[in-house]
Parts: sequence; C-alpha cells; structure tokens
Amino acid sequence: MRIVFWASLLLLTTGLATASDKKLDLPSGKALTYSSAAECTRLVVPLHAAKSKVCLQRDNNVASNARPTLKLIAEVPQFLILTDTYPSIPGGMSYCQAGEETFLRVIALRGKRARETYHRKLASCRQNIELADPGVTWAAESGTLTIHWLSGPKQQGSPETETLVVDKNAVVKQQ
Amino acid sequence: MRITTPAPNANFIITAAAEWPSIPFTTDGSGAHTWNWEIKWGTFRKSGVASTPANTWDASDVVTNFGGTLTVRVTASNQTATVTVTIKGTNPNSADVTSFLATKPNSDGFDKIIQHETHCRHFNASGEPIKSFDNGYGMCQLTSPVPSYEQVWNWKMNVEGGLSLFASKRQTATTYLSQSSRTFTADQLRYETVCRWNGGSYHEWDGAKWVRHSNILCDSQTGNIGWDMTDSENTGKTEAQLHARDKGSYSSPPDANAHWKYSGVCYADSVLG
Repeated sequence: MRIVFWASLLLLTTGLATASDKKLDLPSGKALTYSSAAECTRLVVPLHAAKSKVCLQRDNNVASNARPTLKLIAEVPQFLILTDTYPSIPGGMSYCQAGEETFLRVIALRGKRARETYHRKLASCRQNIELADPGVTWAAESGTLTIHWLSGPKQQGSPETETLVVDKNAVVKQQ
Repeated sequence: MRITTPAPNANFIITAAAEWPSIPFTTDGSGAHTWNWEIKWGTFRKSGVASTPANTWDASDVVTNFGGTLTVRVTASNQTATVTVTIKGTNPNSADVTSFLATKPNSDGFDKIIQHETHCRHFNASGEPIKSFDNGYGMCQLTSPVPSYEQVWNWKMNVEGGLSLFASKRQTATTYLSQSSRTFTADQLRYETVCRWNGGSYHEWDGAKWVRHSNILCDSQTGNIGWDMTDSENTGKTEAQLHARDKGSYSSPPDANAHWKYSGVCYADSVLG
C-alpha cells in the first residue's frame, strides 16, 4: 500500500511539473521544455538519446518565481542560441512594473549533457538596456551573432553593436 | 553642568522647502565645550564631534539633510551633560515639487509621475519619511540604488535621486524617437519617457510619423492595465467586456493564462491624460 501511495504521489508530482512546463518547438522537429524553478529557469533539452537539464541563472532584477518566455535565435547541430525574457522586479512609483529583463544564452548540445557556454544580459528595464530592431542577428555561414542595442550596456542611452563568434564547440568569443 | 536649551525631547521641524531649522544648544558651563553628537533614524546613523570656545553651539551645521533622533553629549571643564531632541519633516505641496523640478533639466513629465504615485507626500503624519513595504523611501520611493540618509530625509535630494532614473529613460526615449533621423515633438518625448518609466515603448513608426501603439487598449479604470488587441482572446471585444472578464485577477500580476498585461502605454495615458 505504501509503495502504491508513493508511486501515485510521484506520478501526480510529475504530472503537475509537466503541466507547468512550456514547450519550444525547434526547426529540427525536436522540442525543448522550460519552466521556472527556484532561482533559475529549468530547461530540458533533447540530445541524441536522452534529455538533459540545464539551469539558467537569472539576476536580481528578476523575481525568483518569474515565468520565462523563450525565443529561439538559432539551432545548429552542436548548439542552440536562445533568449529568455522575464518581467522586471518593479521599483518604487511603478518603475518598470511593465518592464522586462532578457538574457542571451548559448547551449552546447555535444556530449552526454547539455550545458550553457555563454550568457549575457540583452535587455533590461531596470538597467536601461534596450535592443534595437532587429536586436540579434545570426549569420550561420560565419557563425557570427550580432547584437544591436538602441541603449547599450556600456553607455546607457547610446546605440551599440557587438559581434560574437560561436565555434562548433559552442565557445563564444568577441570579434 | 546642565544643558539649558533645548529642552529634552524638543521637536525641530524641517520646512516644506526642505530648509533645516536652527538647533541651538546652550549649557550653564563656561570655557571651551566639546559636543559629541549622533543622529539616527531606523538603520541610518551619523555622528561626529564639534568644538566651541564657549557654551553655545548650533547643530544645524552638522545635521542638515538628516532627521530622526539627535543625541548630544557635551563636555566642558570635566563635566558632561546629555540631551536628546527630534527632527521631523513637513510635506511640500505639489506646486513646490513642480517648481523645484522646473529648475532641473530632463524632468518634463516627472512631476506628473510623482503626483500620480505619491501625491508629492514625503513624510507621514508623524513627520517621518514614508517607507513602502519593499523599503522604498520618501516621495520617490527610492529602493535601488539604496538611498542615502540625506535622500531619505531631504525631499529635494529624494526627487533628484528619482530624477536620475527618469533622465536615463528620457535619454533612451530620445534615442528611440530620433533613430533613422526621425523627428518628434516635445509631447511625444514626454509620453515616450513616462511610458518607459513603467516599461516598454509608447510609439511605433507608421512609415511617416510616430504614433501610439495601435494594438493596446487600456482599462481606463486602472493605472496601467491593458490588453493586446491582436490577442485572439481580446480581438473584437470592448473595454467594458474585457474589464468584466479580467478585473477579478487584477490583484496579482498576470499569470500564464491571463490575456491582460501591465502596459507602459496605459501608464503614460493614465499619468499624462
């Protein structure tokens, strides 16, 4: 009886966790799922034979229970490039109550476990960082990722551009 | 030796113009005096030592911009005496705040936010700075960066702290509206800045001019709640229908199933009219 009870509880818990997960379809036909866990965003990434979990750290401008919204920038066999966006923690006088915080991630898919090889803040109401339109462009032939800011992280209120090169091991370097 | 003035627990009042009162201390002693002072309020604290050749000292020089409980221990001719007094504040009115902001660059619209959010109130009924649940202090509810003792007690410094955040939003609003050499009006800049204070952009480019985001319908009974009318759950419905559908869930941030959102566009419309 006790075993049946715990098995039922496990199934129920698993069911609840699955219900709160969101899904992001990939061009390859695979899909990843994601949800908000304590202090990080839990990503379940499909690998060749199994699925692998990655915990994406946020910063203190994001509430610990904030719901993420993921967008895919690029999918290549060796890695994914994603953005994850959250509501800002509001400040006094409704400051950034309708604002958002966005991160850029590179997730390596080689080996037995997926892992984050790069992240950076892309946009932030609290830090006054804002992307231009288009904000992030990916050139698959050269493996370059270009970020266009309307208000960049180096000098707030001024446009900035940064180009990153992502190699086949998902290692990211500034060009 | 004893301190003859001020009386223990005397109150000294900061004016609505944020001018600190004279706080004269006098003893019945003679000769050189050493005045050890400490002022504190909540977790904020300042202290120091002053020396005078005779038996009088005005504490206003050292406590200007601070408030709370001031304790002074004076020593002269190997005798000491101690007294504690309080410093409290007076609220400015909205005209005072607007006049002050009019002297500050890049402040257009910030007075409207302050009036909308705190009605220009800096002190509570006890004459102490207002403090919000998330440790936001004073008229501008400054939280991050953590405000200084001065910003907590001097409403003008508090407003300057909030204004530095507002000025950053105004700078980004200017960059946004002037991209691709586009032109904009002072009114558009005001709306764009106030919208960005709450979050997001107010305007979109229609090919010839900047216009308000056309897809946002605001709930006029709230401060910054609206609907994206391109959401199929909202399309074709009236404000009254959407309000009736969603008002029950307004007490907490929108969940995953919500079809309403906090909107900087609606915030700007509400604050600026």
